[in-house]
Parts: sequence; structure tokens; C-alpha cells
Amino acid sequence: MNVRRDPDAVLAAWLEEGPSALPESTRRAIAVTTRTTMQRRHPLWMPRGRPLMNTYARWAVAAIAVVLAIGGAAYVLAPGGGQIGGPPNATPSPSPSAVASATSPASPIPLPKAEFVYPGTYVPAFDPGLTFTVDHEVEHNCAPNFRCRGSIDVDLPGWMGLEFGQPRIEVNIIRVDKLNDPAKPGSLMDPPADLAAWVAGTPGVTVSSQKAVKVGGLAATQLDVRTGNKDVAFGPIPGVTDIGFGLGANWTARLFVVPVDGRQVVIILHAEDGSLTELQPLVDSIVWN
Amino acid sequence: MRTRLVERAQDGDDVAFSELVDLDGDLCYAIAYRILRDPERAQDAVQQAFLLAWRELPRLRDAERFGPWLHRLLVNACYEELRRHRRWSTHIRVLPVDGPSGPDPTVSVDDRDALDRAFERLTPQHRAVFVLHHHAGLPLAEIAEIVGAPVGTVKSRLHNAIRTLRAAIVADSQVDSTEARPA
Repeated sequence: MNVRRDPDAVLAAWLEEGPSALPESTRRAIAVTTRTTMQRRHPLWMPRGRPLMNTYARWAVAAIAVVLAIGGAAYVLAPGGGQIGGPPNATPSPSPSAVASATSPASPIPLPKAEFVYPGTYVPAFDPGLTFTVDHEVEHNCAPNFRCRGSIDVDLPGWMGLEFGQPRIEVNIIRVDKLNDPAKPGSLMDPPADLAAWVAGTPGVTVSSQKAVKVGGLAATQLDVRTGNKDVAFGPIPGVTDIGFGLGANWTARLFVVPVDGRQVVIILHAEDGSLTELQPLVDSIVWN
Repeated sequence: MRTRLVERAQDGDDVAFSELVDLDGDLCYAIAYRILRDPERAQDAVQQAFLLAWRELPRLRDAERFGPWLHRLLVNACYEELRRHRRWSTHIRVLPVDGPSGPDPTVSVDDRDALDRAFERLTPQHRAVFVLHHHAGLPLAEIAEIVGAPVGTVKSRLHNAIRTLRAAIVADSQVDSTEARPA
């Protein structure tokens, strides 16, 4: 027997099938991640280092940085290893890194326009051109039940920024076209040939280690640095008007200064909990195009 | 009330944000489930959307636009889930979930099967438009804002999605009819 049916009624009924209430476990997971995730008001790791910045703005940035530093310390020192709202993992395992391999067989694809980055080999908008590889999802102290993803903060010709996990570990790649001229406050200058030495000699920057390395086959200088209780502004970021290139107060960071075809590129690794080595494989995967 | 909650959450009030999750979580999950046809992936997408909303909330200029903005994050999270799903898994059939909105007797097993297969063939963009309009009941202009496409494109996607799904049911009916015909 053939019964005539209204396709739209069938379609509507089919569409209504399925759950409509968010499971409690997901609500709890969202609550945990909310409590353990800092809101992003600005990429505060970068002081607003423009020459035209006024005194009040500097004080505001410094004050926010101090508050964040205190908050971060409280978070790290909190009972439960910062896993607010729940006990620490019973069997903590080493955090997998954002491991990347220069020998990855993956074909490079453009860095997605969406907010997230997954394992793969990517071509960002950065100029000079490069590729980098992330070979598996980072699970850097993620909240329970939450699968970490890398976030794409910035993908511009002059600045690429990614961050992973919680607390955040991040990599920023910046092309340095101009620097603040220390001899003429408010003016900019061309970067010197030895940019690494210039950075190392900037007041407020303490270098704990310096060595010659290679990044993508090019000679580079690796600097492990620490800043004091004030932000350090180096200069502008090409194509960016409201954020400058620099280091936040009380930072530990690893910098790679790489001359690429006559242009200066600085790669900055920073981790809120000091896990600088986790992003080293990503740096090792860089190939200049 | 919602706008006030959004403003409080923008100032870092996680309790206010939890209230927003309570208010919007169910609809977000219902939308995500219907786009993804997978409860676990839908939970992941909702979680991801809310986490991103929390992080980026201070940058939302107009608190009254929280709803469309959240739905945009949700739809993007669903696209990501679909992209990952296609890359990492093969054709896994998802059975309807029993419960308050479990299988409807109006929908035969064959219909369900045909619709599931047809829906699987739709692009993520077509799925999103279809679900946002026919399940969430959102107007086309708002959907256009959410998916970041012109209203004309939304209309076109909606038309194509419905045509594909109707065709699946009709084709299924014709098979039934042929099978029921006496020899």
C-alpha cells in the first residue's frame, strides 16, 4: 500500500528529532574553562610601544600588566595546581608539545581564516614567506573534558601570532621594519644590522643565554631574555597601528632574530608558565619560501 | 536583563557568563546537534563557542548583539567540527537520540535513512542556513549576519537545501511505491 505523505511534514518532524538540552557535563566543562581562562582585552604581552603613547596610557598598561602578573601567580600557586573548580589530575602526564617536524609529509595549506589551528603544515600571510608545522593537538594543561586547540590570534604580513593551551603558550613572528630611536624619543629608525645585539642592549632586557642557531636553514641568534618590572617597547609592527613590538613586564621569553633576505624577523616564544621548550619544534619546522 | 548580563560578563564576571550559558546553552546545543548530527561533536562545538565567547567578549562592541555574535561563533565551531570529522573519520551513521525529542513516528525508518544521507551530502554552509531558519526560526537577515553572507546567498542556500532534502523523501516514497506495487 502506498500512503501519500507530506514531505515537508516529514522533514519538519525529522529536524525536530534529537536532543535539545545541553548536557550538564558540558555546562560544567564550560564553567571550568571560563574560570580558568583569561579574557582577551588586548594582546597585552605587547606593550603599546608607539612613540606617541602618552604617559597615562603607559601607566594603564603597566598597571594591567602588574594585575595580570599577580593574577597569574595566584593561579599557578592555587591549590590544585591552578585547576580551579576541581582536583588536579590524578595521573598528570607530560604535556605534549606543539611538536612540529620539518620532515612532515603534509602539504602546506594557507593558515585558516577561522580562529583555530589544528595539526598540519601552514602557510601564513607573513612576508617574507614561510611555512610551519604543528603535528598534533596541544593539550597544555587543558581544563578537564576540554580538547585544546591552537588559536590564531593574528595572521598579517607583518605579524603572525598563535597560542596554545592553558595557561597560554604562544609564538609570535614579527617583521621589524622600524624601531624606536632611543637617541630621539618619538622618532623611528631603521633596524641595525645586528638586531640581536640591539635587543640585548635595550634597557630593561636581561639576557640569560645567547647562542647562534639556524631557523629554516638561515643563521639566527637565539636570546633567552627576562624583563624587569616595566614593559619594554622596541618599535611598531608593520601594518599595525594600535599595538607595538615589545615585551611585557616580568616576562621570560625566547627570541630568535633572523635576517631573511635583508629583512629582520623576530620570533618570540612566551609561556605564562615558562614552558618555552614546548614550541621549539614549531620553530624548528619553519621553512622560508 | 540579557544585555546587563553580557555587560557584566564583559567586565570579567564569570557568574554572569554562566547565566548566559544557562539562557543560551540549550538552543546552541540544539542548533549544533542538528548541523552536526552527532551529540558529542555538538557538545564540543558548543563548548568551543562559549569558551571563545568568554575570551573575546570584551571586544564585542554592542552587548545587544550578543545573540547573533554567539551564533556566529557556534556556526564556525560547527564548521570546524565538520572539517575535522571529514578528515579523520569515514562514513559513520548516526542514529537518532531517544529522549524528549526522540524518533518521531511521522518519520519512517526509510525516511530517516534517506534524510540522513541527503543531509550528509549538504555543505556545512547549507546545513547551517537550513537549521538556523527551520529549527531555530531565525529570520534570513539575521542568518546572513551569522554566516557572513548576503541575504540572497542565504536564500539560495536555503532553497537548495530544502530541495535536496525533499527530493530524498520523494525518491524514497517512489521506491516504497514501486516495491508495494503488485507484480
